[in-house]
Amino acid sequence: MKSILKAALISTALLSFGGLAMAKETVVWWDFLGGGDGVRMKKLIEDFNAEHADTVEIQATTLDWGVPFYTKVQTSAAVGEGPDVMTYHASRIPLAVSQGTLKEITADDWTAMGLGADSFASTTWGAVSVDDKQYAVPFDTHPIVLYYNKDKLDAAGLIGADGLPAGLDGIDNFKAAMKKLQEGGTKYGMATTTADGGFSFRTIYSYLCQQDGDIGTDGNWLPGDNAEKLTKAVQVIADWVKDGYAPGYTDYPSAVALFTSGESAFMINGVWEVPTMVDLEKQGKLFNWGAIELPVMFNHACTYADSHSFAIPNNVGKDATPEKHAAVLEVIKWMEAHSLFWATAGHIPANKAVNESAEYKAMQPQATYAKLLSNMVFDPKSKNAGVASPLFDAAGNAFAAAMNNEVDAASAVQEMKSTLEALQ
Amino acid sequence: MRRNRVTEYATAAVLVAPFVAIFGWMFIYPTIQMVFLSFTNAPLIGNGVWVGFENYIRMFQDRIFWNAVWNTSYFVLLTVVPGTAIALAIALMVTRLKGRTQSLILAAFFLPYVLPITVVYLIWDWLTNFQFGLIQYVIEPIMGKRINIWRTIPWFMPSAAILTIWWTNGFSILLFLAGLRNIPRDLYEAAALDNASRWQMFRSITWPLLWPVTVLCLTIQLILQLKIFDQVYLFAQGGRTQATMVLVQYIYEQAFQKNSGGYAATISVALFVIVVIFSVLQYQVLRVRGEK
Amino acid sequence: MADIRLVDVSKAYGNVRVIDNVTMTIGSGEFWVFLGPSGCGKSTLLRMIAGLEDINDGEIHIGDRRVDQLPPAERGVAMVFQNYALYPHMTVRQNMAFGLQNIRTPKDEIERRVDSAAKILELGHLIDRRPSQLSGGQRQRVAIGRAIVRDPKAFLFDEPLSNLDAGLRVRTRIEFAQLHQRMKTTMVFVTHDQTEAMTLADKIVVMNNRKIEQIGSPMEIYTRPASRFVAAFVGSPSMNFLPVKAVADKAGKALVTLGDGSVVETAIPTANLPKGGTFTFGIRPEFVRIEANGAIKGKADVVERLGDRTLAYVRLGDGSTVIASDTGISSLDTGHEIALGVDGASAHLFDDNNVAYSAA
Repeated sequence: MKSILKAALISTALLSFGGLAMAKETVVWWDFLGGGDGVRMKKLIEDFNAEHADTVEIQATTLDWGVPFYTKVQTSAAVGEGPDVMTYHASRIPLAVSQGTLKEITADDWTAMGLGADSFASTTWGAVSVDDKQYAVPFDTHPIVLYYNKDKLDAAGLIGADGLPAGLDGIDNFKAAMKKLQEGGTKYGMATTTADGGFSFRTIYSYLCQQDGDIGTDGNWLPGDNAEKLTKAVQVIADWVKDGYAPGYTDYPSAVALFTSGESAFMINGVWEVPTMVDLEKQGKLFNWGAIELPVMFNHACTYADSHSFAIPNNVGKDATPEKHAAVLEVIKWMEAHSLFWATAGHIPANKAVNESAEYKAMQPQATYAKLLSNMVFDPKSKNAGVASPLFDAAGNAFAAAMNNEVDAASAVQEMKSTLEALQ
Repeated sequence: MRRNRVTEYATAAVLVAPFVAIFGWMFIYPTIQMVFLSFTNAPLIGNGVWVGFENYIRMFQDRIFWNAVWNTSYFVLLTVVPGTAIALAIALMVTRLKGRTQSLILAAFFLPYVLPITVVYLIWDWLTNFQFGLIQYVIEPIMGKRINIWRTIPWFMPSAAILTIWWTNGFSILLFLAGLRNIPRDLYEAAALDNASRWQMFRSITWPLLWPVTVLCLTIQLILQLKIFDQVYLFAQGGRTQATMVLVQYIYEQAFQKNSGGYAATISVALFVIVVIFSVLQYQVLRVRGEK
Repeated sequence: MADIRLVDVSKAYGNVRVIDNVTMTIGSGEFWVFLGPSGCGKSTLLRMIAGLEDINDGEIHIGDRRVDQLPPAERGVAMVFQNYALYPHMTVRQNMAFGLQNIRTPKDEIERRVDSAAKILELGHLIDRRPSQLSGGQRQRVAIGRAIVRDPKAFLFDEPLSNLDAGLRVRTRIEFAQLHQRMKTTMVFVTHDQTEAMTLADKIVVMNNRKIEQIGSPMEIYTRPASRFVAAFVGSPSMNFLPVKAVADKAGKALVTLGDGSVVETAIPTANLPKGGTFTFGIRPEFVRIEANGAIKGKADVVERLGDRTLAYVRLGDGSTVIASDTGISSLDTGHEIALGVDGASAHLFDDNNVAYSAA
């Protein structure tokens, strides 16, 4: 009996002192990355842990994307139970800051990581800033792009001398191209998520930006002639559906299936579908394909983008020790330095040092669409904006019907405007 | 043996104490907090400022709230009585089967009930998919075109009701089966000697003797379906969520998406009142009918 | 009123036979009782007559109609169930009227019949109650009332007294007898209680193990049992069975030597007995008297005083036990050495196949 007690005491002592002696920091990590993103992030975390076997260990948990993730972060941070570091959409930062969920990334932090405003595209840097303070470290930029079936475009004579699609700019030119493709035996010109107005908001918002339009912000939604511009943007997709270029009421998986099965020559979707194409191509189940920046329908190029970034939650009543904080910064720094691998998931690395490297420039089709970095637009800076936000919801409610010509675009825009104005 | 009354009360108190404590802590206290919260402008986390009846005034003028009340009632109308009737019909059929066949058929009807809503959602999302869904092959010849069920407002609630009945009916079927087994067989034999036809047996024996089970089923269904959320939330995602909004979904949206804890509490109070009124009313109506 | 004829009726559940080749004719207006231990098939037989069980073989006729393929309602019989099977959600009146309503009997006719049955059964003051508000005996009367209003060709009763307490059972038994006298309808009554069978029946059908052992009037069954089973099952206390050492002939009658060597002169014709084989001697306790100069010697193990008579469990010389009877007031006591006299004229012999032989 005595010896058992002794053994227990010794082992307890060993455990507690042992922890101190090794001084290994554990970084609790939450992300919302599934699919191809999740697989790649898991690999990065494993590599990190292997490299830091004696110093830092990431304990990662993947949670459900969208409102559930952000609600959990908000509620757990409020009681000091949040993680040490987490992934965050740049577009959600204004709301998070208004709720006090995020810790500022201070100048010292930036110095410690060897990063700063110069390391990122200015739009991306702006997206993580609120009132000139930064609340996250951008990891990537993930815009929407135009995927195309190169075989079909080739047959229709739509591939230019540089090997890229040509003659797609302008509403009429684009329709003409789709018409040519359909006459060549393709069922649809375009597959895009017409069943989900929230998802399609990304495309519509891009077309609004191409007209120098602005969605406005709290208390001043759609000022001036922006309602008309938004109407025109919605009308582009509504016309595709009306004229039979794009199938109506198509949900996300169906849009992908229509494109990968060759039934549709184009698809507008996020860059995160690049791994799907790469995998299918590897298995020999896909045609020649590519992805480019969205063609210009109006005045100039502009594409919606968001950014996966790293944020540190403001764990109320539980400040991180300096050691822990240093470990967190080390994690972020390492991830930023290794984001070339992340680019295989389709995303454009936010770190200029990476996206301007020769390795990235050799990566296709990533390098082709990376030029849109200078033409991108993020969500408006509002606590009601961002992915899975009331703004997305309002768009979903208004535009699902409009894209499928159940209501006209102008009244859908009015409905969205009144919904936004009713937000508190 | 005579017992001491005080001792008896003390024993009773000790025995019910755990329940009362947990009930008070997990139900009564939060309920009081919820009512209190409905008079503040609290966000999701933290305290708010007392605003009196402002939230209630806002609620009564809120178009989406009334829409949610209507949608919820419509859904209840579409599911509670039809679902119970279908469960009864299925139970009557299953009870006539014997042995392994009965277990097999019963399992087939009960299986959906054990599925989580996410699985139910995925199954039906693919079944009804606009491009590839099997159900579209039924809809297309009848309606002349495919219908995007979850984006076409008149189709939304009835479809949600059908899948909800498919999903939750297993439990009602079980209750009805248990009720049917409780009816002595010799009553049917007596009725057979009393010249009763099949229909007369159902009307004069099965139906009145199943009435208590029917009341139970209807009440459980009513309360369950008033709290409809998952199905509508999942199927309306990215679509016309306002047009198909139901009450719990609106509470969720206000609390978690729009960060308005106070207003969400106000709608919760409204839902609480509606559930109480509906179930008391239904129970009274059904009980009176049964005692006639 | 009608007779009920069963011809070679058989029934099996899968491979298990529950009724084997039963043939009988229940005369019009007679009161028949099916008697036997549980599981003997008596209830099944009744339910087959009612139409609640199919038959696999044979024919059933009620009156001049063959009914075995007809549904229960068309056979013109009424049945009272062991648990009464009253409709719990209906009043007494509704219970009795239900069958008539189903065949669209005019309203005033229903009322007349229900009232008359209620009067016969003294249910008038209970007519608007529900079964749950009635006592066991009252429920039983309602069940009978429900049968009466249908004015059936035959009544079928499935152990109707088994759920009543002892006193009520005796009273109700008498009511059954009176009911039969008044209605003069064919009645078939199933019971495992031999007293009910003896007191009520015109004819008793003793059943055992899916088969009919004997059909006869109560006294025939009692005095001339056809088999050892019948002999043992009917009568209380049960008949004494003693091993037989030898059977001799004396003027055409069997002379039986019992285990302890004593010899009993019987009235059983020797000619009827099979040659060879062993026999068992059977005698009812009332025919074994305690007599000072009786031929059989023994010792009283247990003495039971029933008031009107006294029973003694007597150990004989060879170790077998015999129940003997004495007058109500008796000086007999446990441990007494006594002598017994046997009335050989009332004795029976049973062969190896349990077939019984009685006096001519």
